[in-house]
Amino acid sequence: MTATIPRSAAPTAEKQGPVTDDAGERPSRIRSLLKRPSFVISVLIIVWWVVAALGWQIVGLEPYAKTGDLLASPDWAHPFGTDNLGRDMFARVVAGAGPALLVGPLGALLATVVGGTLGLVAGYYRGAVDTLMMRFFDVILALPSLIFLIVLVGAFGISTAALILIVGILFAPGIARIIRAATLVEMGKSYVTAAKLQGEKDSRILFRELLPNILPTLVIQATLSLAAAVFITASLSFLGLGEQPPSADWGLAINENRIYLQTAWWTVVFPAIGVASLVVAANLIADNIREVSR
Amino acid sequence: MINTRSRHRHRHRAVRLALAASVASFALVLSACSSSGSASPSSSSAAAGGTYTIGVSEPTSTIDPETVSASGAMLIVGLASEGLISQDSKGTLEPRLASSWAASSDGLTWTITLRDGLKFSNGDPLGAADVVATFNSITGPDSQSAGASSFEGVLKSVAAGSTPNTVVFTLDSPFSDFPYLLTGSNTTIQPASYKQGTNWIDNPVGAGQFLLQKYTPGQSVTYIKNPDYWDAADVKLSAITVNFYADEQAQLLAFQSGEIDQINDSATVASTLNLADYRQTAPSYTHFDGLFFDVTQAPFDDVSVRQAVAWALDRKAIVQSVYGGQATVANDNEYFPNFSVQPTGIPQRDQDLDKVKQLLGGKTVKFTITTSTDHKTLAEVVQQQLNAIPGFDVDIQVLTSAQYYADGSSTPWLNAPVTITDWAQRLPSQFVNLIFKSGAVWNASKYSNPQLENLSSQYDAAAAAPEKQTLANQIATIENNDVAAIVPAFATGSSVLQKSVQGDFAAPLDFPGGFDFRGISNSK
Repeated sequence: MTATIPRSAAPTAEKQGPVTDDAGERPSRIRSLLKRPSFVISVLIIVWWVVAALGWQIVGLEPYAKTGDLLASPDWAHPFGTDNLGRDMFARVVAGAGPALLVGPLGALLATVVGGTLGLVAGYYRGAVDTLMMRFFDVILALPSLIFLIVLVGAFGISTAALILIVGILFAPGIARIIRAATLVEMGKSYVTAAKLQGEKDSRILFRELLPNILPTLVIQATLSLAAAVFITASLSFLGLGEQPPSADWGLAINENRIYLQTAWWTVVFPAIGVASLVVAANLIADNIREVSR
Repeated sequence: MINTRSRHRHRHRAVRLALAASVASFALVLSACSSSGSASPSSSSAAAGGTYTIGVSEPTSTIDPETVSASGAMLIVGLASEGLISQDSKGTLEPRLASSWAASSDGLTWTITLRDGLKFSNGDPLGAADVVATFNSITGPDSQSAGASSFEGVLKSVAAGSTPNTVVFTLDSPFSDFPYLLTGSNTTIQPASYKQGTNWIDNPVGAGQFLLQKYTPGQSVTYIKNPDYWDAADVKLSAITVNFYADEQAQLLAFQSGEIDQINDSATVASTLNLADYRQTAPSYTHFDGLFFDVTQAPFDDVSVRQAVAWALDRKAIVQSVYGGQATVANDNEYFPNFSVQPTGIPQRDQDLDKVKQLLGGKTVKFTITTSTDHKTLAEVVQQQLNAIPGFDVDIQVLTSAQYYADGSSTPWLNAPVTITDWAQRLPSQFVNLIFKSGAVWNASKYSNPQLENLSSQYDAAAAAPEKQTLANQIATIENNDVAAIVPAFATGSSVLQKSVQGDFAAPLDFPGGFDFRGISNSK
């Protein structure tokens, strides 16, 4: 990440407001974040799920095999109980982190890259490009998200690549609008004027000058989108439009087992906790970053 | 300012924590919301035998008695219309609109005699012309009726008999079990003026035990007793209500609350309800879920591979985990256990890993099972069992019913290399004609065996029990050895009833049983 005022010509007096991402303040922000229990716990939760998604096969968990009685309640052998096919729910919840951390985060990343770029371009050039893009995004954002999502699933299918693309399309307009607004704020600052006067190329101004200054906003939006994307992909699986059996996907597990809610609550509650922990952790991380960035 | 911001942060975090609680209850809320059926409250019990309330999924297509295939739509039609013959829970033929039936000496014609004084619900008499018109419509060249398949290659013509109230069915070849075909789907008798493709709900005329009074889309169908029914004295209920529910969970909750009077028994229902608090109907065989192999494609062109899969399955575990014990282990033939002739001398297949190893000869077989969401549990269990055995690498592809049974020549259920499809109970020879005969439209296995077809024809023509037994043994042996399809279990169906329901159902509430409510009352 580059400094926000890379040219000596930039007046130091203008170095104020959001233009604060210098080498001295960054460690300070990180230290502030690390002092916040909710941030640390949230990061640990996400790290746990990432490790779970990558490592469940290494430790020999068997999420697809029959390893116990049907619908056995939690005990030492099966701490989360078993499902209607005798599969260990602990193994399935741990393995379920895989699909949750594949579609959601990659979709959120795609949305951040696309939405961030379009927002920067719209805010920088303004004029017809800005108007055209924003009105188009207004139309997309006006559509009920779940219905829009189902239509997109109908159009693109339910492959992993398609779902990542769909989540990206769904969240990009929201990010673009916020990044555009942040860009407009930055456009009024002298370092941008200075960069233009120095004859810097537009691409350099966009990605070397503006982007670093709106990065905290972008990171916050990316994190919030991650939480929403995880939630929405779980919802898609719940509706049968995402992962397919015998996947250990959390949303799918909730849908498949909800009929057993009265007799085998563990088949629903533990996958739900999986979704909840990931979504809330991502939200809290975004929350903390926002507060520290103020 | 700091305090304000701090309060704001605390408030913000409180919102997050509230979100945590909200998301943690994600499943519970979704489950509850999805269970909110659209049914109206059941009607209060009327006089006489009371009102009986049933829950079904709402039909999504036009309700036409000659083409309906969804169970809910069949019930809606079946309560208000009736066929010539039905089967009781043991598979015995019961006269309904027909009072008797007899075959000619050469077995090529069957004469059906109708009861006297039959009437449709609009007051018109029901006679031979209506029966002839109904069967001509079902089996006509432009028919869209699923029931037509039962008569293909069997029924040559149908005509009014020489005496009043008789109908003569002329066959292509002798068929000793022909009356069973008259209990098939889409065979309720309609007025001669009825045109296939009509939306029957707009003018629900029939000769059934009840009169359709009101159809409210998204909610329910109400019926009252048909006073002109030929056996009205034995129909005790004064009314029936059919409520629509979104899914099984919604039906289960409606049953627990007493909103509906019966629910189909299943593994989930059995695990949720304390069955001692309710009544149960006697189980009867309903269908099998077959695993069909395309025998023209590798690796299933090798019979050893098909046999290896058959010997690898733990059928008893399938009966428990897939059917919740509501099934009987099967032996890869299509003779339902309640059928009068049972093959003998063929050892029952059970999991034998040594035999699997020998049959596979050290190779690993990799394949994908394609099926619809209705059979995903069986697909998952088969995958689970096979992948636990060295030599198998099995994946599954679960499609929606619409995708799996899609129209067109490339429909997955007839083209995927390995499929799981359910088949309702039929005569054994019907299965040969429909799913194993060379060139048959529904032959998902692409199987062909002239010897099997010849034996099946002989079986149909045979009248003597010993001859039928010998032929059944030969047919089942071929099916068992060739394994064009694995039949792991014959599923049974039964209903759980509220204790207020009195009397015993003669047959399950399905089309072979003729939706028979005689003798049933409800004290609720």
